Amino acid sequence: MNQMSETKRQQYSVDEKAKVFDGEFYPHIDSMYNFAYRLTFDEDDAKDLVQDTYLKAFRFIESFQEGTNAKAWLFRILKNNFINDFRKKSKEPSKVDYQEVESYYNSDDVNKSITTDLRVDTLKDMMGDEVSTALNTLDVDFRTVIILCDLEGFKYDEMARILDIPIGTVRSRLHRARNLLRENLRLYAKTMGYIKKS
Amino acid sequence: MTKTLQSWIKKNIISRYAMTNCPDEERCLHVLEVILDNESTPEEEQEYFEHIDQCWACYKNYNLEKAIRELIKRKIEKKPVPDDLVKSIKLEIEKLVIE
Ligand SMILES: [Zn+2]
Repeated sequence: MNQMSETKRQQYSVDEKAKVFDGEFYPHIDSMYNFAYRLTFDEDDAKDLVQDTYLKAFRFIESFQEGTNAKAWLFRILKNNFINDFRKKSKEPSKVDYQEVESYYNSDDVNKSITTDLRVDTLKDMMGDEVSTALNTLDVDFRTVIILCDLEGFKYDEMARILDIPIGTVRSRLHRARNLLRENLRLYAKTMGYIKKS
Repeated sequence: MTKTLQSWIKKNIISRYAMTNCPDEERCLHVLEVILDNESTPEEEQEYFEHIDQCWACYKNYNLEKAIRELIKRKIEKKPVPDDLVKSIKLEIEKLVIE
């Protein structure tokens, strides 16, 4: 009874469901598909993941309040789908266990400020593929927060709800993700000769 | 870069900044992040922008971090959604309704 979601359950008729899907759910399919693709790196898997997400949304639509943040609600389902079904099913089992990830988050290497030789004009020369690679090679948890924040424009509190973690963890994870991304970009620039070896 | 240019920059640009090393760069980076994410308070912003007027290290960080954000937004291509995806979802949902 103390759960907001319990007391606020909304009933939908078939027509109303269709209206919510057309008006509030389908407009986000572009973002959902791109998120799914950046999690799985496979077009078919991304399609399946998005489809499963919409089917779950249909089944659990009673827990969605019309007029609230549909995009965040859908992203949360997609993320849970990915973790529960997808990561388990995928051929390569997830190598990272939770403990390992958290201790990595808290390690000094990731956390220390980087005095970088990366420069603004170097970035201007980078191609889309290079930038994508820098992002894609990040561990999935780091990649996810960058996608949610920088590409999808979610706020910290929305990210906290999507990922089921406290806001403080969102912020520290983002900070570490950005340090790693910056380092990837720097290494990339160095290999490509954008930065002179000194 | 020529020597003359280097010394010109040093005299005219870097020397305007009181600090070339920041006393608390890590904290400044955290604040910068919050500012670029549009999650900062007006006080944080005011303090930060007053600080980078005097801190060369943070001024550089500010420009670099801003450029990285823009790079991510501009250069990462969106994949077009497959044409048949919405249609196939609608079909699956119809099946659920019939059941
Ligand atoms: Zn500073």
